[in-house]
Amino acid sequence: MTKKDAGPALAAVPEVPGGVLVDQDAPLVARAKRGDREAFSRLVERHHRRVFGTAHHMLGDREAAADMTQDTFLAAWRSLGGFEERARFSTWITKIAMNRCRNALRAFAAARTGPLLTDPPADPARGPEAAVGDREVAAHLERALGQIDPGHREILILREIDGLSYDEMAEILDLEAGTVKSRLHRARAALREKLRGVWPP
Amino acid sequence: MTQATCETIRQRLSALIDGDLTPGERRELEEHLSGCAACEAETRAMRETSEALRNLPRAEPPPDLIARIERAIDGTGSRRARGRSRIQRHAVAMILVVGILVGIIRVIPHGPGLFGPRRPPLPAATPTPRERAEGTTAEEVAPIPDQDRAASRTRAGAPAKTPPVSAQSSAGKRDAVPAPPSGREIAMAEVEARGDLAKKKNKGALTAELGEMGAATAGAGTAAPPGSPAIDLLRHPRPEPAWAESIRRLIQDRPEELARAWKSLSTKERSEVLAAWYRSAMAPGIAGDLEAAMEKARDPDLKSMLHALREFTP
Repeated sequence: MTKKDAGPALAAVPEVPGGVLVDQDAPLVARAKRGDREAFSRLVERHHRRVFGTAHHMLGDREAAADMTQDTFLAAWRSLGGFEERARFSTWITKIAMNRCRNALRAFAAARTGPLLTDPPADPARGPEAAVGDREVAAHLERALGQIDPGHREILILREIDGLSYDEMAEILDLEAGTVKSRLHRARAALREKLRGVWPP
Repeated sequence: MTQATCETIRQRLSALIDGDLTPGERRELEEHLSGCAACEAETRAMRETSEALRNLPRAEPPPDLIARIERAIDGTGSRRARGRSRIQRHAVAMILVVGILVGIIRVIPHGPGLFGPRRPPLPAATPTPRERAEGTTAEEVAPIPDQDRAASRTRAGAPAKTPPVSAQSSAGKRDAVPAPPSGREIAMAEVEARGDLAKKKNKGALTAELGEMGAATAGAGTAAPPGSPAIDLLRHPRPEPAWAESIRRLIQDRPEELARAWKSLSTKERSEVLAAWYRSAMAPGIAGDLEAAMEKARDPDLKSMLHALREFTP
């Protein structure tokens, strides 16, 4: 489901005149598809940080995010044969991860066990280099992100944190580009409402 | 040029942030902002929020994550469901942890004092997690609800205690399945699997808490509408194929009843149902049955229950 007429590409998506995405992972993907484990390991190295970060923002829990990342790459390895390369590998794997995060969150909602957001907002794993003020802002934002609807959280992570284009978001979320824009608008408004009176000061 | 309203302007802020406005829309917006302090402040706040999100630091993955991924992939030949089960194990752990907390909270209001003497526990109504997992009470060995509805009804009057060992042997023979670990053992293993939790609580304290889970359930005495096979099944989850099969039949034959029973469960009881379901080594094909039932389901409670079960189907 490509949405080529979907408005401006926002992130620096390398494109050739035919509109075909240039994926720097394509050679590795081709090798991995032929069963080359070494090539797939290179893809894991390249993308595991990003997938983990995305899952962590979605789930709010390091251990769950690590499990989710492992699951995602395992699923990718198994279904690589079905990857048609209309999207970039990074988009494809983000889609797998997001679907899984969404399912996990739904299961928790269904079981009414409350959100999975267990990590304290100021995560020590992000190192001491962040200034105190920055950390406070990050804490406010992460708390608010954890409180909004997962669908809103998801699209904000894809757009603002992963820096994806409308097209890529449409591919990952299985939405039309127009719907992506309106949902993104609602998500931003929802986050803003959560932060009102808290931040910005 | 028409005067844009504040409402129109705010509808455009998201597109403004993305640089997705036409030149005309943008001009109109800027004109409005120059004369409207409220919209101007809101625009600034939206921009700053967007900016801050972009700068949000990413959590660093655990140092062994690549190795874990590689191991999972290389282990696929021998254990197919391994990858999926990891996150599910985690989910089970999370749910059990929530269950523990709920259990602890429940102990408090049922202590003596305030509301007079503590209610005596119902005889054998609620086995402890250990008894439950090992199938100690008589009715749990009994098979499927339909024919055994009457038998289940008499349960509350049955004698309370059966020594775990003998019960285990009788339960064990029913299905040629090795005795499952007790609920408590599972819970301990799950909890220990989570390093961060282990850091927060030492093992001794956890053991005590898990022991209290049973006490809490018994003390709460849950005002269960007795007699419904659905309630009986859900209140006494067993990680065994026969139990899962009973649930599956109810899903097919009397889904509404099951949904009502599910709705009446506490969070902790739901956790236990899901944990048992996940461990029950149910017959293959159940996932497909669940999905078919989900297709048909209209009732929101039924849907949420089916969804939870589907998520916990290995």
